Amino acid sequence: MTSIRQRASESNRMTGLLPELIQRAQQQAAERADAQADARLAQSAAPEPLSTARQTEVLHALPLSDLFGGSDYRTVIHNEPLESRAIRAVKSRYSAATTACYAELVLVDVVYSREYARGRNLKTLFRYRQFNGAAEPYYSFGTWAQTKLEIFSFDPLRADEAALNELASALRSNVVLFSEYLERGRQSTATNNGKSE
Amino acid sequence: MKTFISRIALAAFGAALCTSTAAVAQEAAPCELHIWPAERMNSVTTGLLGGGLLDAAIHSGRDASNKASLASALDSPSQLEALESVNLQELLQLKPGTVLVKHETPLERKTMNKVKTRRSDSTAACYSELIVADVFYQKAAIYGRSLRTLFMLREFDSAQKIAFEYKAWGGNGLKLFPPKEGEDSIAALDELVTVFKKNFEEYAANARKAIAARPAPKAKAKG
Repeated sequence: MTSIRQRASESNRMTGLLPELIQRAQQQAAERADAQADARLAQSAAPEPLSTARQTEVLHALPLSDLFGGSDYRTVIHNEPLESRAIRAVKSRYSAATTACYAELVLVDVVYSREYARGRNLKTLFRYRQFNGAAEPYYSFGTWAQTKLEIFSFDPLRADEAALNELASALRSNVVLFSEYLERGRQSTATNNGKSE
Repeated sequence: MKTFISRIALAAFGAALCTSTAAVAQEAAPCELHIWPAERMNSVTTGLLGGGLLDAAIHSGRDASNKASLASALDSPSQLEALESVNLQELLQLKPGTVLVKHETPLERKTMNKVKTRRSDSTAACYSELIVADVFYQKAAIYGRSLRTLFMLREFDSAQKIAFEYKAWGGNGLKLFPPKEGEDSIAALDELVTVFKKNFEEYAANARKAIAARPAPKAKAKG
């Protein structure tokens, strides 16, 4: 189950007590640079460097059952992304499946980020929900995972094969990282529940 | 530009209709409030260094992560949904029957103050605009974490000119946002939406005071 919107974000180089005018000029310069980079990307051979189709390819290639829940689960990857409002508002299952043993993994956002002093990275916001035969999930967990990028670049644009492969690899790495965060979150919940009993 | 409600076409009022009939019909047409979300999200974290290059470099990664979270939790549909979920009629003292027209594509931030004409092509006689200009997360070493939102309300007269404008920030503290890396973020992201609504309620309370204090429109000269 994947749903992706792509955004670029850039952190400020200067913050705090600097005059508002400088910040405004800096913001405008960043917006101009982003707009130019957007235009260049749109005209390039890979206008959607990590399209929904590419993401589903990445997910198909991963051992999702092993990463999320084990052999009890059969993986069903949906090709159509969910709308952001549906991801947040719908409390029941996103699909029509009625299986009692049922879980969902949603890629809510995929963001290319360029950070002053830290370089470029790919961030992915995941949301996992596990149902126990009930209408609403009995366990939910969502967080960001990020992987550093060395080749792919938005400004200046570098989106050749090596760069696109790096993006796919970063997404793979984010999925694996999220599965580790999820496991840690489960253990922490179990520990807290144990303490409260 | 995407809108969710088809606009009322006033073109039907032909020249053949006498002026008084057209005036009565326009009076009866519902008022419109057009709403635009913000395109700009910003995050500023200042430490005990008080801001500046070194401080900014230290916090740059965190700010980028916060900005990505803001853009995710408060994307255009979420901002519009949040505004629709509060009682706009009451909070902004809108005329009964006012139709809400939501625009999913944000306005360009740099044009926000420059453009003094209507931002939609609506020709409704009773027409106003609510624009979310900025969404801004701030963490200061002493004052703590908060979400600030800049709103702008503009009411146009039938001559297409701005009859009333009120622009101000709403701001409230955050308890859960930003989440720690690798920890569950759902509650923290939901908090952003809750505080966004609170900010609007704060803004609307001040807007009502400004509306109440505005001078009464001049009576039309008889003749």
